[in-house]
Amino acid sequence: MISGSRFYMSYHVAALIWRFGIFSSLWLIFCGGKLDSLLVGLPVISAATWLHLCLAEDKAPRIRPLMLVRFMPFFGLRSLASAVDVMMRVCHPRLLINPGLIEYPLTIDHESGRVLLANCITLLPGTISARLTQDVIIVHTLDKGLPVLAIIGDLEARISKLYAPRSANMGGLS
Amino acid sequence: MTTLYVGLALVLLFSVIVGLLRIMWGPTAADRMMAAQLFGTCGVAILLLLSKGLGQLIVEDVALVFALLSALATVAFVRRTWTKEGPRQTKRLDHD
Amino acid sequence: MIDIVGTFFVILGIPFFLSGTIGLLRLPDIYTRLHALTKADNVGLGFIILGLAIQATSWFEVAKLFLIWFLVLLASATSCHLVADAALRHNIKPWTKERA
Repeated sequence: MISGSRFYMSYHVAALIWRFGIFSSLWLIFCGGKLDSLLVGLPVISAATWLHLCLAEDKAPRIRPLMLVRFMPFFGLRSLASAVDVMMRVCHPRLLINPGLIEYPLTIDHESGRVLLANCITLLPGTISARLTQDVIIVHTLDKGLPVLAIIGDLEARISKLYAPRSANMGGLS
Repeated sequence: MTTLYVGLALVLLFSVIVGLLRIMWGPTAADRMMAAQLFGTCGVAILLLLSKGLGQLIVEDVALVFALLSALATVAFVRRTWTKEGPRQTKRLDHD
Repeated sequence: MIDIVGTFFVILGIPFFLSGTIGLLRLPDIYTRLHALTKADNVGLGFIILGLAIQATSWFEVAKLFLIWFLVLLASATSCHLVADAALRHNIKPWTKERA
């Protein structure tokens, strides 16, 4: 019981420090790194941190920063590929498209992951997300010949790896 | 250097103007709304190029605000203007 | 040298914007036009920002540039999804090769 409440405290202290760090960096970016601007900045940063803690849902899954860094090059290369793909199709004299709608059954079970998946689908080759519900996502594709379901399956697997397993971070909170 | 960057900004401006043809042609309201998205992305790019070309770093902050606000126009359009319930709701409010 | 590499990336971004606009004019329906606009323009902006970041004078400016890019990515992915979703709700049928 005691160790449980200590875990609870440290979880919240970590959440506080993370948010404070992120808001401070944002402030410094906006101000071009002028440290004397922190005179105004510190109260604002503290208020933003407090507000964000109030609004945050306890059940939101945590993102693993290292996995996120590993995801970025993949995302960058794929979105470059998608732009080149669109460019080729659009500039071809016969307009190489064969569009259609495809439904994909979702397995990710939290809102944050679903929204991230929908946004990534939109920026990756040949697909945009057109509707998102609890258990299905409707995708519009530029080319029905693409293995769209397999592509999204792979993307979904990568995105679920970005989140810490639920049992690990919720242990002290229940 | 200045000439090059301002020139590139003009090329993008030209691209936006050609994109305006789509607003004229429509045919649906959503096609016209896409121009807002075009403005969002192209506008940010034009502002950044001008900031570099004219040496006015402050213009970068304008681009930042553009980036922050560009989604709002679409959200407002989809939620308020282009919903089937939208007009009926306003009517009901009028009667109250 | 740095200026040349930076300018190269900035110029590389322009064709993507142009192809986005070509797509906007040539493609047959709202959904396909969203593809062109969202993907091509974002990558075009990405190259321009990369080119400007290479020439930036401070790390804070680099960070600000990439923050702008991130915000635009988020904004256009969200806009694209919202417009496509609204179009589906209005029963706008996607253009297909068979029906054309």
